[in-house]
Amino acid sequence: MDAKFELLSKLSHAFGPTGCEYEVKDIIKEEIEGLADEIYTDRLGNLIAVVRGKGEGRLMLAAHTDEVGFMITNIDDDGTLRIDAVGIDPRVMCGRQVVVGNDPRNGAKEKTRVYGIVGSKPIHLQGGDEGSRANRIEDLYIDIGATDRGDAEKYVQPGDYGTFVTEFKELAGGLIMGKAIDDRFGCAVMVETIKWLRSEKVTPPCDVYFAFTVREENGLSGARVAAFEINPTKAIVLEATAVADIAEVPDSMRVAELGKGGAISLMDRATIYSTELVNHAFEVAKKYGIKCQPKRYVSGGTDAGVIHRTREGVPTLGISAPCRYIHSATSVFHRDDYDSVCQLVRHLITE
Amino acid sequence: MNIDTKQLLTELCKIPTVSGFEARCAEALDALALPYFDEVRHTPVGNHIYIKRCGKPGAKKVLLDAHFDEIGFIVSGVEPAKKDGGDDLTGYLRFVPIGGVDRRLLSSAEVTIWGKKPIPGVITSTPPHLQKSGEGDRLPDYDKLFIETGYTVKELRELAPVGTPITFAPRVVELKNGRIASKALDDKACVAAIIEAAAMLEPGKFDCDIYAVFSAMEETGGAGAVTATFGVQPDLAIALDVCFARGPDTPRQKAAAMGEGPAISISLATDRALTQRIIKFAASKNLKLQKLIEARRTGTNGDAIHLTREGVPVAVISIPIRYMHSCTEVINPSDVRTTAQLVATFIREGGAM
Repeated sequence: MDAKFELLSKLSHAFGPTGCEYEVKDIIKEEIEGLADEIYTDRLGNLIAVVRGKGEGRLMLAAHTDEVGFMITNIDDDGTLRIDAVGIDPRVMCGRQVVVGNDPRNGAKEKTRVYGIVGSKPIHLQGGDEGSRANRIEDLYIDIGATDRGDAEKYVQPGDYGTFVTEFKELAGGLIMGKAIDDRFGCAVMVETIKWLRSEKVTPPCDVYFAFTVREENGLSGARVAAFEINPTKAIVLEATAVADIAEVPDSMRVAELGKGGAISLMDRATIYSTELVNHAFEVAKKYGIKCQPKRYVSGGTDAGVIHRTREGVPTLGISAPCRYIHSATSVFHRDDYDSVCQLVRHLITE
Repeated sequence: MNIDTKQLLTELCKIPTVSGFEARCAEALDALALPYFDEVRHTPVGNHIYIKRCGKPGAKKVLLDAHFDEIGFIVSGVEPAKKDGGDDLTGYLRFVPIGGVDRRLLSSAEVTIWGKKPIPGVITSTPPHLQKSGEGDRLPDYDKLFIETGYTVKELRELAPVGTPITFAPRVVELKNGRIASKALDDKACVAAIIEAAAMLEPGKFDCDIYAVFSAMEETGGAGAVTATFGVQPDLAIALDVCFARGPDTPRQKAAAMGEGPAISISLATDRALTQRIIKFAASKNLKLQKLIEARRTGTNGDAIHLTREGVPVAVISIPIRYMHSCTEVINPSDVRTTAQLVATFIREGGAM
């Protein structure tokens, strides 16, 4: 894999289920240290980097650091771990490799990372139509190799967090696969943007607040308080969006297509986006020959859901990486879309 | 000779041996097994039979069976990303299962397509945002699932034509207490145990000829073991397979404890006298051995082996495994080592006589 994707690869591998995003924020902080005019972490844990501009106004860029995951709810007598979902889809968990852990900054005694797999009943022992129905979260458990409860308690506590383990790697045709592309893609674009502003010595027209938010996958909590505190005049949310541009899916359900640039949201389940900003984004893209496309389906929601209704309201734009199999251990995106979104964001900031 | 059990298991699990595709893996298996045997026969149905002789005239023949095949899939077609979109569009592979694959494992699983070259792929899934209401509970059937590789339809027809085998992506995960998780530990765990047993047996220190049969097609009906036994004509046989390990979803009476050694089957298909001899040898050497009562049949190659030709006295020894037939089956390699020691002891101490 080329150097361009080193940062995203590192971010994709990082442990950051909702509520335990420390490892992700540490990587980002290290990347932008000394580049932003100000870097701080707010009360809820959002990491904010500020690049000062020439004039009035505050532009907020947001990407969330958390990923879909689960929480350990109980350790059973046999040493297996029962879980509840935090954004994760139980239908794609069976048989996957996972990692469970916590962080001292989150009240844990020490930083822990324990590997396990998601177990379930073998096919030979399934009865009735069990094998043709998806697992519910209460059917699943994590096996870390512990012999019993006492053994498991040496490594894991109820309340610990967990997520998938997936190697970030290239497939054919420009596709790249990994976990947590939603939304480490957005995080990587923001880091690249800060680096670009500094390396090209560009001073933006207004102050730009880069908000690396926490807890998006659980009710957009991070962005809600970040937006209140930043009090932006405009906002751009950088995300990854579920698309289904694959065989046997009708046009009306495909949402967007990989390799055709960032998907500009018109509306989703949480937000009607600013028409003015949407039109502006398409104009800028056209002017500079940058690929972008409308998101052609109403689904999901982003941090925009809370940002656009902050205080007296904030005109908000949403740009998303088209991403197949989002929220699973194996999300797939197109390498060209990374360039397209980076380019578009640069021009939107400077104009 | 000392073998690193975990290393051997890792190497064995990497070999893509979907039922019916065992023959093409002869070279990979030879590299791991042949150093501990005198000769090998690769049979037409895909059995790999490794022979270790004692060099004594009229020696009895002991058949040790472990199936080499694993559950998996084959390519059954390719569809363009858009209907009537042509061969230059991204292609999506259609696939069907070989052996008992749990459909609940499929959505978003990483797989390897063993075509002209190994191709990494991902099984498609519908994200929750795009599911229709009521869809959540029902699992998609094979006609609604595809494998994504990034290649075009044209490239896939060349690289992975219809009939190409597919496995879950090979990866061995280390868990606590030395346990490991991987695809195909059913029955590579027992292939490893037999290789390790052979490595423990020094020439001149035993009195029978050993026929280690790494049999084909157990997961699809057992054609390998039946034909191998017919050819070898053994005096007795030990079939090695996996059994359910105790865990959250296994009824206690149908399962053995992990890390407590293998389990020997008490069943109508197995020879009671032979079984008792093995139990005795285990006790004399303090080797952990559990009992598994399987009233009528064992569900292993042992069932077919004992009815071959005039009949063959057979014992069935099983290594406890969790999540059988998943891409992350779990075993404790210590059980593999105990099994190897038990088999080697039985042969060295004249159990076959």
